[in-house]
Amino acid sequence: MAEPQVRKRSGSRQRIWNQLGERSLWGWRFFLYTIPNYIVAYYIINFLPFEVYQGNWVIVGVLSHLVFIPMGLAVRILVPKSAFKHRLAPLLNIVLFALAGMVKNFVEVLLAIQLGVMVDPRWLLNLSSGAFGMVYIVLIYVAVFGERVRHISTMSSLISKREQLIELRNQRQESLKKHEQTLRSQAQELILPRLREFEQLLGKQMKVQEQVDYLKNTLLNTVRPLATQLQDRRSVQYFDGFGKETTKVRSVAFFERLDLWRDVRPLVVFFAFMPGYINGSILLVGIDKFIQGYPFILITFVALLLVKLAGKVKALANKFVKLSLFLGLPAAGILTSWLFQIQYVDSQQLRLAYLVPVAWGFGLIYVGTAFVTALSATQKVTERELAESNAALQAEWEIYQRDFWVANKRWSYILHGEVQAALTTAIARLTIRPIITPLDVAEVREDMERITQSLSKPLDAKIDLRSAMDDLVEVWQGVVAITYRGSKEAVDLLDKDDFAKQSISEICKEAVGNAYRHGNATKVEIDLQIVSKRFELTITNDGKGPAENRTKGIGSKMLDDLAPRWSLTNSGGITTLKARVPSSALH
Amino acid sequence: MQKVERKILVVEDESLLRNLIANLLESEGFLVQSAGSAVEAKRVAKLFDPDLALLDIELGDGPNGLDLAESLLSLYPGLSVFFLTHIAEPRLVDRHKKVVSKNTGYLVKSRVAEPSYLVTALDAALRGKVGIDQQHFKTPDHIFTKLSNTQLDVVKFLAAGLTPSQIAVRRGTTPRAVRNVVARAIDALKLSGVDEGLARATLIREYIKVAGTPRADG
Repeated sequence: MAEPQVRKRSGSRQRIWNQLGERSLWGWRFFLYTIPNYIVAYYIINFLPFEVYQGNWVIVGVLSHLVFIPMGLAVRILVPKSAFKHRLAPLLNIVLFALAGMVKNFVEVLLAIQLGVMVDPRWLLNLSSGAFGMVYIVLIYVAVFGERVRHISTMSSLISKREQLIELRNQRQESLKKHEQTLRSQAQELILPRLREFEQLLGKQMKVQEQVDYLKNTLLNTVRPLATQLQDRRSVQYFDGFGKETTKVRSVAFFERLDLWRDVRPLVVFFAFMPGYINGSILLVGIDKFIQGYPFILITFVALLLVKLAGKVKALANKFVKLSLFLGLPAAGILTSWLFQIQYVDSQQLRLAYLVPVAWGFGLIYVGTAFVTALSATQKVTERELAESNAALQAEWEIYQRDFWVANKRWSYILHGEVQAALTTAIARLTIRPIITPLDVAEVREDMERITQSLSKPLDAKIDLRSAMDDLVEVWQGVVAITYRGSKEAVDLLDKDDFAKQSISEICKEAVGNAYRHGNATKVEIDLQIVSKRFELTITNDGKGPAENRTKGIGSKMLDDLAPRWSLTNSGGITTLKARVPSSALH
Repeated sequence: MQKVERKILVVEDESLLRNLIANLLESEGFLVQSAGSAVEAKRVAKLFDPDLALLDIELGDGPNGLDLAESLLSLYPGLSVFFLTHIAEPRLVDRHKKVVSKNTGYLVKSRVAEPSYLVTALDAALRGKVGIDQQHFKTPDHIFTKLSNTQLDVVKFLAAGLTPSQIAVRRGTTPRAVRNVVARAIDALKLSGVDEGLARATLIREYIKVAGTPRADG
């Protein structure tokens, strides 16, 4: 059996069209939406001396409305779910809704006759108005509510993402400071007391071996795990509190927009309203009189065009003026056209009966389509902003990972380099000489003092990238010929981002080493550009590339942290590493 | 008999330690030149033509000792290279083993101040015989020297938190084979008398103590 054709979803109109085909529209909630329409209609008509009804007929309307419940159930049970996934499902629903409206009005008329409240049933008018009414209502509610719910959800995400972003930026700085502080205090807490203990031993001529053993076994053994465990450190506090729900969501920017006049769609309103209008007019006043009353259509259409034009006039930028035009001009159009029309209607009751559904139906379509258009426009802006926020959030995380790695690296330089070197030097001083002089002791004390200073000074991420790259070129000279270049934009931006400089230097070092080690490369070209708000490093070499193109694997740990978006490919004898390093200067 | 000069290049970014090692070697009769960075070492090597290079692995922001070693070995294939390191078992760091060849070894920094250890090691290396203590990182003072490379790899994955099945996928083998490798590592370290879980935990703890927690993708 062939699979049912799945409906495509794209664009605002397509989305509304698709929403019309949802099976969930047949739930009880949806039928609640039709109640205001009936209440308004019945309320107004009840005060009119309408000749087709007499007595208390409101009860008839209420009772007949209940028919929607079993009809909704019947559709959900009898129509296969797959039918609602078909691309023609919206049409199916429209037909079913029209049918439901007709059935409802049919029941209403039957009840009215049974109860003796209907004088002139006008079957066809009742049935067709029920059908048209239902379809209009469904269309409007689906469009407005569907779009609005979706928009609220998008706005909710956007507000939440923006809050996250602000929080994330603050937390990034805080978290990095906290991380550095933790590293420093942990090292100080472990090392400094031992340094003080060592001070007690220093200078005691008889205890030189004990001093050396203390340096080797206690102090070095304290420092070494601190350095090797640096790679384990990941902050878990960074994303704390991000799951909290925002409460600002409900005040959707849409209502602040109030430029609905700009979103009036005269043609849409005109053609949407025409079928119901023609049907009602012909049945109510007869085809000859309807034709004579055609100016109604033109006058209202002109009123809509005027609203549309008013939206483009800057001089009318005042919100109150524009809102007045938005509501006033179509109302004036309806009223004027009604005045034209009534000369062809022979009874006062019919004139009123004619005006009420016209104004009500037209108003629904007019406001509904304008709302939907406004929502769609706002939605597009919101979606774009949401995508930007998502990208910024992603970049924020990447920057954090990068900075975290660099901070660890800098701290590793201190522990592996300065601290351990001072300890080793002290060991050497105490070991080499057969007799330790006061001068030697003083020098060992200086070594210890250097450790204390190293553990207290702030982490410095500054690096001279040009000099580091020149060093790289020179060190590999005669083995691998390295050339590097970068766009002016990228080079200028690097001056504002020390962590990016360090990251780029590390990636280049690793890439050149790997190109030679794994691919026996003899030529490496490094290019730096700004792409998608990131530094994009393109490092090509003429070596043997990887067995298959990859983005993960051994040796990728550093790249994952410094440039989460990276790839290694091999094509035509050229191996290319592309790595995008996030830039804090661009986010 | 004319004394043959043995030329050693010392590369260490910490000046105090660099001078100290240089002085020590000079006092032992070696001809020594020193450099504080990879690029400086490259320049010195060109003029000095050393027989042996004693290199610190971490050399600050510029190219590191491993890069320098590869570059030097490529240009001077007869050169002996010794790495200076604080890591008790450099085999645990993946990239080390790719650089180390027959005429390279490594020295634990805390022992460079022992003249006899240093001179014996360098002397042997200059004669083309890297001492067993320094060759292929086989330091007798660490338990992992008893493990094969395969066993070490598996222990690394265990320390990264992978199950035998996951390790098997990474290594292109079966979970049973992985369990056998672990059992042999436990035997090699003479942990077989204790409970298997405890032995495995000891392996992981020792690994992390030396090399930190590895990442599963590394």
